[in-house]
Amino acid sequence: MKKPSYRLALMLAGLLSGNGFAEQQPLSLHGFVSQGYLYSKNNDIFGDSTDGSWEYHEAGAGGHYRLSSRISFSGQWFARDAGRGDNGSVRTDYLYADLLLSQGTDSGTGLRFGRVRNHFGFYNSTRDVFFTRPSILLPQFYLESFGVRELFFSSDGAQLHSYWDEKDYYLNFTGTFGKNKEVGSDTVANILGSAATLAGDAELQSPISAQLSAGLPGDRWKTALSYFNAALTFDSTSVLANLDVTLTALSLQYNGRKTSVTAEYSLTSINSTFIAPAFNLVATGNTKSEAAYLQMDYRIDEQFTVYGRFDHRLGDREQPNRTDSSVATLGSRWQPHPQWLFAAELHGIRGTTPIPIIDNRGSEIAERSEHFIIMAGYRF
Amino acid sequence: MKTWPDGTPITVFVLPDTHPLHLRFCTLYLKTFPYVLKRQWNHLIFTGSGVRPIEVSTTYNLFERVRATPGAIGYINRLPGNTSDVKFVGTEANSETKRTIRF
Repeated sequence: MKKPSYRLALMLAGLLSGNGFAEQQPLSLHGFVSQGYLYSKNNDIFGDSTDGSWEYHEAGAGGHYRLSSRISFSGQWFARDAGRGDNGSVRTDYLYADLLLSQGTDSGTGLRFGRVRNHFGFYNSTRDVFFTRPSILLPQFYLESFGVRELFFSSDGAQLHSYWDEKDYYLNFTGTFGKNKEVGSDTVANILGSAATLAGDAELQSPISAQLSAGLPGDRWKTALSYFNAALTFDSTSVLANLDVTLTALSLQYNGRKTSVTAEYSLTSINSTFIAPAFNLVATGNTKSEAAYLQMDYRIDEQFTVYGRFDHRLGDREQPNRTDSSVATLGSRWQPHPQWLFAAELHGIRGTTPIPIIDNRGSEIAERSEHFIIMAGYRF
Repeated sequence: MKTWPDGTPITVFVLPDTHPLHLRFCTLYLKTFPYVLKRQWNHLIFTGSGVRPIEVSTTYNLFERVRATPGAIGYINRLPGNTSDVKFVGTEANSETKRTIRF
């Protein structure tokens, strides 16, 4: 039997109105579910993992509805259980209307209104979808263990998005302006520690984020510059606190036939003011922290990939030896079918900041720990 | 880019990632690899920015679906008999075709 020839590749477009098949439906749906198992030494992560924990799963479903060539709606609802840090309750991940202001073959601009995802680094906007992450657990760059997901993750407001395509490169821009929002008591506890035992109100004020990304055709190389700024205020009967938080990040990725290399760096600057009127006390300060990682993926074949990553963080640039932490990760990913994904990872951890405090309440966090994690995921 | 200039939605048909023609199309036209293309689609789907392409199993099915669907786009590896109702917008010898379709 003669083998088919793939020498030619012809691109074609349909011209006639359909008679046998319908055009693309205005509504499309998607979903995903993933379940992990964790076993660790010395510290717990996502449940009692020193004894083995199944308390790590994610599930989400959403859709995209095209009302007209200029207006569409998108939404996704999501539940996540991750030890004591996330309790599995369903929340609205994003829900927005997208208005296309202009569109050509080389450029376009649109405006979204509603709850939109903040674009930060390569992975924040899809950080809860196992199929889009670079590994089961994200690197410290994404502040996973700090319990501040709700601050970072999405904004209720407006988002401007644009693209420009040239023959040799492309540019994308996303800018988000969020409105003030209340912050949950768990998040306050994660940020302010013991001060959070005081009853009070916390609010995230005027969050803004922006990302400019660029790449070569086909993403052989791509890069992104990300920015996030917000003020976090805490008001109780005895303490007023204001944290002005700015994150800046640079991301770079190379994609070859067999190998991908990804590096991301972030600088976080926090200007803090604490006022305790009862004690006539005013304290101000500035802390700068840095996080960076380098990950290499090697595709053995279409289904099987192995990867390694070194991930480092300085909690306070002024005290590098007392606040640094690092995570070395070795992992493998197997995707036997487009809808199924399995992964396994080993983490060697030095330092305490990659460990969620909330999963280790009542016990001292050990300086060194190891994790073994497996995860299975299904999508539609 | 989600629609053609006349407002018709763009419907994208593709072959499976492991199909040799899909690999050839990715490397020839898109200057990329199937895993990168899949990553881009996933990002669009899970941020709500777009919809996935429709996967078909054979080049014959792909041609028939493109032929019968207004605003559809796809690729084939040989000239079929009846091409009166499709427009060829690029060939290997003419790779100036726009490479990016945005959703």
